[in-house]
Amino acid sequence: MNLLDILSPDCIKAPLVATDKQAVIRELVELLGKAGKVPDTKPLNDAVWQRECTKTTGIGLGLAIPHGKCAGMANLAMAIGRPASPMDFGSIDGQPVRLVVLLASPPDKTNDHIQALARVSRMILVESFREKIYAAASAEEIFALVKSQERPG
Amino acid sequence: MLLACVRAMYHAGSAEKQSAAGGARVRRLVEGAWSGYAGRMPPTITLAVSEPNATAVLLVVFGLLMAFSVLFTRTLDRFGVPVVLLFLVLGMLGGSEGLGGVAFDNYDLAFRVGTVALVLILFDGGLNTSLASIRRSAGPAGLLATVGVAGTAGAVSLMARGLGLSWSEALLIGAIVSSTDAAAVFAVLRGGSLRVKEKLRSTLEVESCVNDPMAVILTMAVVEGVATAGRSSGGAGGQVWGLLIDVPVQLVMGTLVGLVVGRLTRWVLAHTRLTTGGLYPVVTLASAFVAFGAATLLLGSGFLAVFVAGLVLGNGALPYRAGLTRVHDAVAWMSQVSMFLMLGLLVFPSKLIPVAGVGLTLGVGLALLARPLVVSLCLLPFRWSAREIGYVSWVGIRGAVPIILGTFPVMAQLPDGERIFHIVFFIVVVSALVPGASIVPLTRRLGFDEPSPPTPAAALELNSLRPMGGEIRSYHIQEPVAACNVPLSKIPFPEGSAAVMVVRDDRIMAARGATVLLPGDYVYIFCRPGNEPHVDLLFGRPIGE
Repeated sequence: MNLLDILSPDCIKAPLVATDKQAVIRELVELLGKAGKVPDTKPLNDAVWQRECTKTTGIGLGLAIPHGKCAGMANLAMAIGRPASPMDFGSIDGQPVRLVVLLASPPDKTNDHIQALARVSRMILVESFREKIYAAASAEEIFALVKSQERPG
Repeated sequence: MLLACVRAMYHAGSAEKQSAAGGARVRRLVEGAWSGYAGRMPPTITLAVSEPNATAVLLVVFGLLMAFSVLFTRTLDRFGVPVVLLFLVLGMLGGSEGLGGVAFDNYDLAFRVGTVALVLILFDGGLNTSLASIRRSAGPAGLLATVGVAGTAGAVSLMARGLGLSWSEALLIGAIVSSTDAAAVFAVLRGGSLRVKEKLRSTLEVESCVNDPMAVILTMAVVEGVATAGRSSGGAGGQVWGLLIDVPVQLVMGTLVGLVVGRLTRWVLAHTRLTTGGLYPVVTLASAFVAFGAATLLLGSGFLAVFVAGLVLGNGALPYRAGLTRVHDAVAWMSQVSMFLMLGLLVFPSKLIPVAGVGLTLGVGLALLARPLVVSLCLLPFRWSAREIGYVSWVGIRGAVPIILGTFPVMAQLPDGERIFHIVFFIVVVSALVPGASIVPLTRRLGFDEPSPPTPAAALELNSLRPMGGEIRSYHIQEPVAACNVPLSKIPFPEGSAAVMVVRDDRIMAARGATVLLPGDYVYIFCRPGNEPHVDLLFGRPIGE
């Protein structure tokens, strides 16, 4: 699973406009909609929120990975947003979130979906990478950082 | 034997040189109450038969009452009436003015048994409360448990005075009924079919555990104030100042002792190997008693110490965890049933009738005026929605603590002590009955209930006598989680973690690579410490969290 296959620079935003959990998810879903990766943003937004309600995806260390499955998509898609300032995401460790990575998947690609999810959650365990991406000033910088972590191809 | 210990502890305490005025006052009072009582020493329970038949009759009556209470809980749960009420009523029926004919008017014994029962209930509460939920609700719950309790006491006192009670009676009643009850709140929020939203649940639960010390301190102070007012005038101002020192000292010392006892117990459990699993709960029970006693002797709040000790133990590595928590759960229920039955025995319906008007008015006033007002003010800084504030106001159930505190004025031989006890009893029953009966429909209507998964046909739990560095987490698979519709072999488990069993409908299945997780499945995952966030990310919220 290569994250570069599902991420494009136009789906990265730094800083985000929204400041609360629900609005941040909406902003990232809209980003995918504008990039033409999701035909209809409403069902995706609902699906992601529904998952968020079972348990927070703020897994600690400043990262949140909201995700959801949505019919009508051709492929997996990913959006990344850096909040203007660290925000409350109800994270497991109680710490504010500094990067939000949203993953959307068609219902028939559950294998790829869960692989991508695990890939993102592991990537952030590398401290040097974490510090760099949290400090990134622009979308381009974030994209370059993800690229540096992923094998080309 | 236990009671003897309690008495000995208090005596030992009173012999010490007292450094803080507040603690000395409290101890003097309690000891005074006891020595005062020892003078007349009424027979605890009067039966017209001799031993060993007396004990036999008592055990049969109490056993039957307990069994009936428990068997009826299912029926009551459907109506949302707190089950504790039933125990109270059965206790009254078993009493000398009821069918059972058991004459019991020993407030002294009731206070002690009630205290021990509360210790066991609060310890179990601590064991089952996660630190994360404490952290999340610390602000609102903390404010409600301190300022809120004082505010409620004030508001109820004013209402009581308005109803024509004397100032001393009014202040006493206000202080006694000022705290919400952990046992009743836990029973309503966790015992039944209802699962209330986490934010509200943890706030109400943490409030109910932390606010008892405050009510105890207030009541002690007022009882002493009333007792001394008869002998000498003045000193009221000093008393207020004393309270300002007392409260923080009690809270800080209670927390400290709880932390120390909890840590120590954990260390002992980790470094000793006991011969049978059955001895582990004995160690934890001992820890609960020591936490209460030591904290009380060290001028801290015993109730808070017990809760904190349970919290420390429950949130760390525990040997034999599943067995241990089950034992404490059973002990807490048993304590609850016997405590309320006993308090029911202590109530005399004939003494209830004269205070019905006052009790009823105060109970309704507390539920509809005092509590909502205080809660709204306390939660103002947290910007909660009006519906949430309304809900927290409504679920301010009173329970055992006020009734046990209600025995204080009687033990201190204050005039009208028994009258106050019965008014308090009335307030508690009203506050449990009115909001209690409406909690289930209200929670559903306001949308504050969380869907809780049905109980699986089989469950898997790890029962290790030593901390093993791992646990079994169970998940109810729902459509939105990433692991749904994925074969187990394709799930990227963190290093060292794996699925061990799947339960589908009434079938237990081995966790094989080809097994695809379907909505409604229960999956049991062996999880190494530190892997929890990653496993939860893929599977959602584990059962029991």
